[in-house]
Amino acid sequence: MKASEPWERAGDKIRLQGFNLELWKYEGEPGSLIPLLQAAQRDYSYIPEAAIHYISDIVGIPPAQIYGVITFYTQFRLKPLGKYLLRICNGTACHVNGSKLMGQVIEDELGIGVGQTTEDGFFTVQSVACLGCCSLSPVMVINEDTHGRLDPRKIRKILKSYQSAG
Amino acid sequence: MVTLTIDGIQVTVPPGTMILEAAAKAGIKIPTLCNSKRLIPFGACRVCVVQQKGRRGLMPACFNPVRNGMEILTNTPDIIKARKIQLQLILISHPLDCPVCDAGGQCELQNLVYEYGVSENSFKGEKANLATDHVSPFIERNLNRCILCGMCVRICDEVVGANEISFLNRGFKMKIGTDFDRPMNCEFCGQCVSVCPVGALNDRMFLHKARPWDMKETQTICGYCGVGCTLTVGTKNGRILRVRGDESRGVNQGTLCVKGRFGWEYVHSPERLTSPLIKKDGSFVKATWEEAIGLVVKRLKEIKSEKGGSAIAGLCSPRLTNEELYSYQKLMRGVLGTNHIDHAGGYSYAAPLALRESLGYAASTNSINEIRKADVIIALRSDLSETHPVIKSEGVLAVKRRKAKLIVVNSRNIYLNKFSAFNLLVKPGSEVALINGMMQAILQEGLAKEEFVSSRTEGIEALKQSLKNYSPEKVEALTGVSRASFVEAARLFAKAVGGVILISTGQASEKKDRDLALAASNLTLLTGQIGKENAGIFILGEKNNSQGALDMGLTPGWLPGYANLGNPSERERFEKSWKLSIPEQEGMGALSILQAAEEGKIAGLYIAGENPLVAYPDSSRTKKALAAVDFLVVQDCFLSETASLAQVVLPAASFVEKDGTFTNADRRVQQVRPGLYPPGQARPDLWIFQQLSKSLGYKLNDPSAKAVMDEIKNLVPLYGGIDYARLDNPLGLQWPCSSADHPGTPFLYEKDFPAGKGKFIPVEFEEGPAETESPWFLITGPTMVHSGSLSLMSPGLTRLQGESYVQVHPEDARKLGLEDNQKVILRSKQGQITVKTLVSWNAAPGLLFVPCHFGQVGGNCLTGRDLTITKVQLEKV
Repeated sequence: MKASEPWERAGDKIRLQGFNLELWKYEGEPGSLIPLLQAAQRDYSYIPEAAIHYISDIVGIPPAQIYGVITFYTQFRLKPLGKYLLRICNGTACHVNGSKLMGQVIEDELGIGVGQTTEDGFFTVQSVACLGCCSLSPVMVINEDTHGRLDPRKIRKILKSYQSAG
Repeated sequence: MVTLTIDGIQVTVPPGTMILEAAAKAGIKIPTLCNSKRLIPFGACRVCVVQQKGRRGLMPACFNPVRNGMEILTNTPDIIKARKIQLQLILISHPLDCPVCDAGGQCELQNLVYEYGVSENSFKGEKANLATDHVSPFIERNLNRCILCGMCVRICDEVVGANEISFLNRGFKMKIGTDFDRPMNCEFCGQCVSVCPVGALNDRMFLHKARPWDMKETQTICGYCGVGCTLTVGTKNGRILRVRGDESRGVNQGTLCVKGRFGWEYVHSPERLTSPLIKKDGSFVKATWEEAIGLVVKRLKEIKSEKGGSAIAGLCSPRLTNEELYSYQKLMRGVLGTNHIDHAGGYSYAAPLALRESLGYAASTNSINEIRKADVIIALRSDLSETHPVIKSEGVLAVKRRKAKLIVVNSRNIYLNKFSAFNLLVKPGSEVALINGMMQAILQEGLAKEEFVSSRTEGIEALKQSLKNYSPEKVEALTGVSRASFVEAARLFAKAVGGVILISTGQASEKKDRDLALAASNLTLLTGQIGKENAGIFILGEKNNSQGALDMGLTPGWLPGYANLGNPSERERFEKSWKLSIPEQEGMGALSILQAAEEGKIAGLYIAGENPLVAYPDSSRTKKALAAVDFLVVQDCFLSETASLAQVVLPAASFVEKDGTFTNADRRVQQVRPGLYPPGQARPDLWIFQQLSKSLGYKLNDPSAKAVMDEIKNLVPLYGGIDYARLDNPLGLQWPCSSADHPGTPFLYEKDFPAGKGKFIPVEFEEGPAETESPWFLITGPTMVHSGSLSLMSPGLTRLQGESYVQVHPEDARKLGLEDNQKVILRSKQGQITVKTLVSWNAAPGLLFVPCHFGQVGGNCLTGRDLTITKVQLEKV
């Protein structure tokens, strides 16, 4: 466990900062597991191991089972997101306009596939079904910025600009 | 009851029975890969499909309850086709590495594939390629062979309550594992291994040792704690290769703990004694049995003729069989002429004797398997997951299946609290005050079972009088438990249909144990929780034959079968049968024997199986006492700390190397069967006692254990109907069993108490002497992994827990600036030890726990003989 992570240890218990404390009223309610996991993920961008133990204490579900639930749902992540979340569109329009190639270019440039995060924690690549701006296809969104009418050169340029911006 | 026909056979079963069980009753075996009678039906494998006449489609038999008039078919062409397809689907990802799989020959998948002739598979798909877990102690996980039946996950949840493993991922990637796929770190009871139908979970010690059919399997009784689990010991070429539980046999129904399943390695330890030893010039020299026995006999004879029999004393371990214990006390009393005999330090059996006073029999009142059917369970000073893990499983079954309420009364935050409705954290030693407070609350709220109290008990007035001092306010102050919680706990217990109290015995002062058992007995009498099924009091003995040692009269004042030594006619009955004379005067208990030894009054001490130097309180004083004995004989499997002080050491056989019976904590007499020959010159204790006696000029009894039991049965009415032919059944026989046609007694006092009525015996809570200079309370006890000297000789167990420690509460640790694994010195008036810390929430503030084994660094270096609460000082190194 890294020291910089946002919780402190008090014996066996883990105190998480910035957790939505409203949810703790569900103590002992196994049914509140999913909202608690979502809260953890909202706060940390992923579910830290310590949060699993913490939630386990609250809802009374053993860590192994919670881990089972987390790995069951695709919505939960066990690793932090990168600084930049890159979502490449694979909707019909983008697909027709070569999104597959764009995905490959991203993979070549960053060295990671869909669902992965670069080692430096900079980029996380996700594939989505449609971003709702088919007129810009092929399109990708990095955090809140939309980049449309992509071609391989443009992608390299965009990625470089993020990398140099830091 | 519901009647249905299965393949034309009519069967009648209780409603709620699943078709699979009903079929078993009709003698029809429906194949299954995910069903066990220990588990709730799950319906994962779909192999058990059957057809109902008049309905379309197939349905799983494990998951569908019976209905009246159902006509079930289990073997039609459609069903067989469906099962074959199901097996083929399972085989898509199964690696078929059967030739090197340890389950080969006992694999249920392999057996079904064979039975259904599945030789080809038209389905193609990828084989799983997951890393094998070579790291987890005792359990090896090869997840590629896993068929996802979920039995391991379910047993770990439903029966063990550990929830160490779970289903991970989804779809094709689904597998069984721990969080973050770390190695397992659990109780290592191996229940998951025992239910795995294939070779995915393996006993690491058994890996690549033998094919299952090459082993000889012997059914015997575990030699560790008082639960008396049935073990199936697999041996080959004179070595144990595997121990497993059989779900159709014994009180444990297949459940075992880490010691029972994996703790047998000591049997083959190179440290085992294989020859008698005689001390010459301060060091041991190997000797023959003739020499050793000759020397023992010569010296004991000398002592007897010079100083009389009362200069001889004996300490015997409750690990021995009934036959051995009986013969030992016969030898000591009749042949050597001393009543100075005792077992288990003399402090472990005050609780059952207290029940004898109040109820009539010195034992648990009900059967262990009734615990799972109780509504309210009080675990009174019982750290069950450490001392009796299989009883803990009974509690888990009650809590999880029947929504029973578990009330934990302990001075530590024990692991059992994971399942408890109430955690009554009492100040050390104040359990009696809490029980008294609960009774007072019951009386005040009018929840006592008046009818039961008036018709079946006596002494209620005296109890009421004494309880007046236990107002909720006062009890709150005495125990530190909030009024609201213990009063609510009392209400629950009083209103329960079946209320059970569990008390585990071990090291505690005689008076404390007596008081605790009497308080519990008062509570059950007051609430009528006795004399019926699924209720009562359980006294859980620490050792495999704690109950038997008491039954066999291994105490200074009681002859076998609780015949009073002070009563001339009782004594005469034994003297006549033995053709020996028994000294009249009551003997000394274990701690008095050591005291007398210190004073030079004991010249000869014969210790069989006990290790007082480690197991008794105040080690340094014990050492002094043993050193003061002129002639010390120790009979043991190992050269224990005590044995190393002896003049003669006799090598004994372990429990898998001898015949006999053990009596467990629910009065169950069960047969111990040998699976091995003892190593070298080691001999069963019975043989040694008989040889000694023969050399002393008396034939003790006929050589076989069976013959000794026949002798016992004629002298001990409780065992009157117990003989080896009748014991040859999966569940043994529970005493009282007075005659050959008596079926045994699953629970006591159904109609009446032996003395007519149950007695209320008021007990007052007495606070221990206030010692102020040492701030820390010290509690000692066994741990889940170890029980004493034998378990420490099993390398697997010592890898899990190899050294002593002191458990400290995190808040105390913070105050003291202590970290985990930091060396500290504990000091009491009796001595001091240096141990490492274990910071754990299972301790309680102001209270330390040290395991009682681990010889020179164990808790007994600190405890005192008077055994009231020990207080210690703690210093950082």
